[in-house]
Order: sequence, then C-alpha cells, then structure tokens
Amino acid sequence: MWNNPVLRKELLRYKLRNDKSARIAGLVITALFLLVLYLLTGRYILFGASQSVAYSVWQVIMGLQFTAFMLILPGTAGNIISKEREQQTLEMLLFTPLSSAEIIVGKLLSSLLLFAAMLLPLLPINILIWARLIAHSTHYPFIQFFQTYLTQFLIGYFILALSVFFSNLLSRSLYAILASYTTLFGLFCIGTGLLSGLVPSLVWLNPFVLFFEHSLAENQSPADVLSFTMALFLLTLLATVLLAVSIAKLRKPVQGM
Amino acid sequence: MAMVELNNLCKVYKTGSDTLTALDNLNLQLEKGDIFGFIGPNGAGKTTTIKIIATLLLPSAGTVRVNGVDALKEPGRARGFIGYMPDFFGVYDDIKVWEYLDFFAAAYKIPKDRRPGIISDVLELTDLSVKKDAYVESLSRGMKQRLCLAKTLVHDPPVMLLDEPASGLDPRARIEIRELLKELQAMGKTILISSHILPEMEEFCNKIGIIERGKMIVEGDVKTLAQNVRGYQSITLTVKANAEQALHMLQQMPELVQTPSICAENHKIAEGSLQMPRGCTLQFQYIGPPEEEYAVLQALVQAGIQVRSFFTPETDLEDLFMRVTKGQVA
Repeated sequence: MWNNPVLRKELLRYKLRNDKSARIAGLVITALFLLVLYLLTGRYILFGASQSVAYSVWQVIMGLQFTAFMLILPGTAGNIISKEREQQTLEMLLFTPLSSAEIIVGKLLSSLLLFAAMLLPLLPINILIWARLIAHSTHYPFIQFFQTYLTQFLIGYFILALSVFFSNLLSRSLYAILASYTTLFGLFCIGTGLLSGLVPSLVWLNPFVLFFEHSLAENQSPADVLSFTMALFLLTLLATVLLAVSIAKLRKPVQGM
Repeated sequence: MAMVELNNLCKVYKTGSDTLTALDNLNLQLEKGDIFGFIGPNGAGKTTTIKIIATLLLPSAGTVRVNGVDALKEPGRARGFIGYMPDFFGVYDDIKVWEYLDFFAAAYKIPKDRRPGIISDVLELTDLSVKKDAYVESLSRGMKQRLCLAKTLVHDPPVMLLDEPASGLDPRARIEIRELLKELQAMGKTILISSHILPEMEEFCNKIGIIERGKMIVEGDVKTLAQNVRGYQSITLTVKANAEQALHMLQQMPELVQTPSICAENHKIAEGSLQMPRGCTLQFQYIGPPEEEYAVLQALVQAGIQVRSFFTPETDLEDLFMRVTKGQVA
C-alpha cells in the first residue's frame, strides 16, 4: 500500500509547506489539546456526572463529528479525479504504467487516511468517557465503541467512493461535488426517508439513520443489529462497485467509428 | 526494425449525423535516431496522430507499432518505450521539483535506490539542477516545459512524442528547448515533434511530414522534399575568379542547371542570411537528381575554376509549407 506512488504523492501534498500553515496547525492542535485537557479534568463530565449524562456527552461528540464528516467529505473528495483533468495532469498520469486501480485506490487511500486522521483528535476524549462508563457499569458494551468508529469509517468509505465515482464521471469538479452532495443527501438521506413508506427497509440506507438511531442507540435489539449489519454491508458493497466502475472507466481510450 | 510504424491509420469521429475524418490512411515509418518534424495547420490531425501513437486514443482503423510492439494490442508495453509530452499539460504545483520527478520515476517502477541518480541526470540534462528543491509553482513557464521534458525522460524511452514543446515560450526558452532537443538527438532518441516554428524544425529534423485534413501530403527529408515540390534546388557557389567562365559553364548544363546568375561580391544570401566568403558569388537552380548535384562542382573544378564554396542554402520550410498546404482543416 505504501509503495503506491499516487498515494505517496497525494500525501506529499498534505505536507505543511510554510510558516503560516505551520502556525495555523499549531493553533488548531493547541486548541484541541486544551479541549482534551478540559474534558480530562472536567469533574462534572468525567467524575461528577451520572452514567447517562456521560453517555449523552459521548453521543453529542460523536454526532457532531459524524455530521461534520458528512458535510466535509464530498467536498474534499469530489474533485479527486476531476481536478487532475482540470489542471491537465490526468493525461500524463494515465500515460504512466500505473494501473487504473493503482491510481483510483491511491487517491482513495489518501482521502481515507486524511479522514482517519480527522477522527484522531477526539479519540482520547471518547476513550476516556468509555473507560469511565465501563468502569462503573456493565450496561454499556465496549463493543459499541468500536462499532461506532467502524460505522463512521464504512460510511466515510461509502461517501468517498461515491465522490470518486462522480469525480471520474464528470469533467468539472464543481459538478462532481454537487452531484456527490445531491446523491448523498438527496437520494440516501431524504430520498430513502420519503420512500420508506413504500419500502420500509430502505431507511436503513440512510447514513444518518444508521449512525444516530442505531450506532449511537443505547439499547440495540438483536433484530436491529442484523439489519444494521446488513445495511453497512450493502453500503460497503455499493461503494466497492462504484470504485470498480470508476477503475474500469478511468483509462478507457476514446473509441472512434 | 522501425521504431514507429503507422499503417493506414484512420480516425473518424461521429458527431450526430455528421462524420469527421481526422486521419485518412496515414502511413509513417521512423527509424532509430530519426527526428521527424510533424507539420500542419491547426486541426490537421497532428495531435490526433500523436495521441494514437501514445495509446491515449483508439484509431478507427490501421495499425500502430512502437519498437516492434503492437500499440493497440499491448498499449501498456508500448507506453514503456515512449516519452510523451502533450501540447497542453499541467504540473503538480504544490510539490518540489525532485518530488515531481520521483513520483513519475516511481510510477515507471524504477527501484527507489536508482531514482536519485536518474533524477539528478535528467535535471542536469534539462538544466534544472539548481531548481531541484524548489516548488514547481515557483518555476517559469519555460522551466515547467523543461520539467515536463525531464519527466518524459525518467524511464529513458527510445521514442519521444513531443506535441508543440516550444509553443507559448519566449525566444530564450525556445532556444533552450531547441538545444535540449539537439542533445536528445545526439543521444540517439527517435523523436516525433510537432511544431509551428518551422525554421527551428528545419534545423534539427532529418525528416519532415506535412499533414493536412488528416492526410500526409508530403514526407521525407527536407531538401529532397523542397526539390520535389519546387522542382529545383537552389545552389550557391563562390569562385575566387573567372566568374564569367563559371557562368558560361553552368549555362552549358541545361539538363542539370537552370537560371544561373552572378550575384554581387560579398552578397548576403537571402534565404540563409549567411555572409559569403570573399570572391564572386553565383546562384543557380539545380534540377538534376538530388544525389548528383556534385557533378556540377566536379565539372567546374576540372575546368580549372577555383571554387571556394558550393552549398545549398537552408531550405525555406515555411515556403515549402505554404506551397503544399491549402489551409484546410479536417
């Protein structure tokens, strides 16, 4: 994976290049550190509050994090291929012996790594809250902690694959980003809600429903767990199909008559 | 074995009910070391041809072989033999020059331990060594053009396809690119280059092809083409003395020579803008077979005329281009 030249090149582009960006990054890291410190030492949250309040705090943190990703990811990944086309670098990239799969996977991995890196800053708070929940009660299964992160990661994978698909399909970044947002929110969020009257199980394909009503839910019935797992599997499968189509279409030479 | 071989190449686009023939039975054969200047008006089919050889476009009919490999059946293998520089290209502005080249070297599966040496070599060849650690965005347009050329060289391809490599550059950058191409020529690369800067093409191309409306109108070495198109080849000679006798002799060879005349002393040849050696200069149109032009010189020398120079001024490629093309596009 690390030998993928596209991934390495994309990661190079994330590097901080000058003092200004280093300063901004420093400020952000400091702010997050202070936030972690506050929550670490915050007596009310970690030591004084009841279990249910601590759990609610965790739900709010995870909910905000998830909503932020839903809003950010299509915008950051929607130009992943179309930008190459716009800045006229795609042709030279396609001319290299790199396979279409290497190019698409390299691009996707760089976005996934960036996404994973964005999950990290709030991870210590979440671990501490869960450590406290587990220490004082058996009501909260620790597996839910992993499940929440896995759900976020798989939904993130789906959003990125959807964005890569549109980025490859449409020549303009703006159109690709708009198509990604429209499909994600219009079809998978609002559309599944509207159609759930006709096909109730469609509601499981709504990422918000998956995350807020099931992944973050305090009590999950075995039937819900099965539907939830199936829905995650379907989204992951759909994401993989979208990636396969993107790979197949990337280097298709223009056929004449 | 030909390094590049195109046989009956056709490309037809269908737009609604209309069809557009971009390439019409194009044939071309380039040997090792050939520098082929591909000339034609805008829309003639130069870029289409180059993209097909580069395996980025499929032809409607015909075959393409690069270094013996069928580029249509094995595009990946054929690309390994080609260095391709498109007419319009972008660069990754937000990485350093050496990182940019390292990326392409890695893309060409060059082992990591060999890459620094190769990058150093191509940077030196393209005169960009001092910019190794600079960000690509800080380079001038000419430097970016050379960087793109450096990128095409990282895998040491025997065939280079350069689509308008000097377009939009200032005169200095154009000269730098020209010098670089001469170095590549000396390295034995087979180069197919399209350009609109015809005098420069004439300087280093051993073959040219003029394409119009998807058809190769003429192809071959510049001087032979000029003679074939014009029906004669201009020759200038300088004699130490006896210019009248030389003129008389030339007039006696109507099967080889026409319109001989004496020019002024130290005459500046219009076509080549060359300062002639001291003496008397004569000009004539040679109409015999190209390989026998020195028979005229031999005859003059045998008659005791002291010839100081005998040469063909640079052919005016622009004149040739204007003669054979009609300004039509596909």
